[in-house]
Amino acid sequence: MIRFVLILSLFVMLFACSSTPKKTTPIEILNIELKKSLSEPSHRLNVSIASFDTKQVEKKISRFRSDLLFAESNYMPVVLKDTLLRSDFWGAVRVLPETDPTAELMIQVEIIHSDAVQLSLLVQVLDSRGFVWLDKNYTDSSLDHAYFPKKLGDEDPFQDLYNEIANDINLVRKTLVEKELNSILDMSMLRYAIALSPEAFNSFLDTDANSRLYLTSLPARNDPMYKRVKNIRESEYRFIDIMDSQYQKFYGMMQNSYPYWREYSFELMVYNDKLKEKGSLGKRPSSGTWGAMENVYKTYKEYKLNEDELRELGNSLSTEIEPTIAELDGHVFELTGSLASQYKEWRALLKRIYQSETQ
Amino acid sequence: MINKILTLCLFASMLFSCAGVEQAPKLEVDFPVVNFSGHWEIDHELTESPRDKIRWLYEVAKSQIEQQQRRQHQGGSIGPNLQNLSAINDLRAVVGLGTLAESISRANVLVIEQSDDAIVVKREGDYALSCDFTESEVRLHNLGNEYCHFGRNGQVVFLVALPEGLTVVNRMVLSADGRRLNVATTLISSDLDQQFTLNRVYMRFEAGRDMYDCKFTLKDKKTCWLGQ
Repeated sequence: MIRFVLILSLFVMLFACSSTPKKTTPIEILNIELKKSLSEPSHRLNVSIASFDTKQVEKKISRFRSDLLFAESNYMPVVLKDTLLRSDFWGAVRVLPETDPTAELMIQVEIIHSDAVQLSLLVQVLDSRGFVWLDKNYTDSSLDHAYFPKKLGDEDPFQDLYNEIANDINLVRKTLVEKELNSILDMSMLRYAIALSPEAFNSFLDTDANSRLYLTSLPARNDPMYKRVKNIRESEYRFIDIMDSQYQKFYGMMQNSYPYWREYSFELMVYNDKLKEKGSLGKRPSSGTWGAMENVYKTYKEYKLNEDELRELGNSLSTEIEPTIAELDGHVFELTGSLASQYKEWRALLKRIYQSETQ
Repeated sequence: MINKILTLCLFASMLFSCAGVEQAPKLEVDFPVVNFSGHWEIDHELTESPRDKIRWLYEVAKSQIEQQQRRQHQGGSIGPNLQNLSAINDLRAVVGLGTLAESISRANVLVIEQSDDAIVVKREGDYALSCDFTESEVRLHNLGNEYCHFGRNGQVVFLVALPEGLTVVNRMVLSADGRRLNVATTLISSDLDQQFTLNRVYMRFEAGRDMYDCKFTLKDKKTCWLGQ
């Protein structure tokens, strides 16, 4: 009993000191800029978004929250992808398990903070030339969005943040002239060729005094090796499209629980925030009705039940993803394991095929 | 009693700077010595009936009130006094907590997964209780502050303090022969002297045998099948 009393004392003490969400000033709601006319540049760059990185934030959370974070790290890239596609400025936008330096435009994001009230992301955008388009921290509060149950899943509560990222990337794109856009396309293909066969293509690329890559020349259009590289790359794109659909499927499945989990979290966090504002969080006052207690317990239970489901979903994505069946030159390959390992396996397979065909 | 603890704690909390999650004190961690792993189903014979318990507590409290009233009557005091009102309030509190306890502890099957450093108690129709023994014992967040602990006496304690002053404690202890598991669910209200505990006893069963088993996959979501 004494131990229990001590535990309870410590607990209540810590409750008083717990950090409720920091009051953030809601930023104005941002609309995404949409392509307005057909006279916009025709060079639509393909965009790759890597599954979001969680290393930093993982250090601060429990292992159980970490499983959930893994699910979020595969959910959020799809929200960003959909946002970019809606703007209509881009070619194919794909989600990948890891970064790809040969991508025309690569978006890599680290989750700095994620809860129902605040989302903070560190976003880096690089093109195939190695030019950094963006390296910026984005933070958004969901306080300017209500969590309406009927609208859950329709619009992300942090859509502002994704719109801001999309608009910022597009701002950089607008500054590029046609020559630069062509250079990004060429460099992307050449870097892919180098990844497959460095000895054949390394000489087409060099670095300047600032360690930036530049093209010395390009392989001839009818170069059979280069044509082969292009074919291999098409195969890779087809494979990535299959993986991308896995992410899309995962996103769809998370819609059954994630919006609700966030809504319940939001409700409880805002509730505690209000208590703190009143200076009474330490006392955790009761409104005096059993109904209120029952309601708060129900909210907590729903939040935890959704958390359990999300954790199972996250685990499934990392371990039990269904095998990918891919076709290449009339051969059918079945790849198993996580998406990241399937991606690695496929790339290794393509490299082996290329090497065997060009020897 | 709880009110006194809360007052003391509130005072103590003022002495600390509220610096947030990072500065949560690290407590000494006891490592598990009892293994709860396995499948457990309710043992109705040994499990307390919440309604019976509420009725029993009600009768005890009612009898105490009647005794008090008789004494007052014999002493010449007329009409309700403060002691009586307090007793009636306590009675209401017990019934209220008991009713809430009944609604929140209904799992008939538990599946417990335990490793050297963590335990997850999956409860049928309810959220899972989880504890990472390697991390700071008090898991603070903004929703409901959670605490869990594996005591040297072989008990696992899960505690959550929620808004509205509600604290829910689940205490698990294994019988000496390892065949029965007692889960004591205690509800505490921050502004009431009363608390209510409900004991539910579980017995081991072999998963898959004459029962169903379930697996969760991305492709099929939850799939269940009958055992051999």
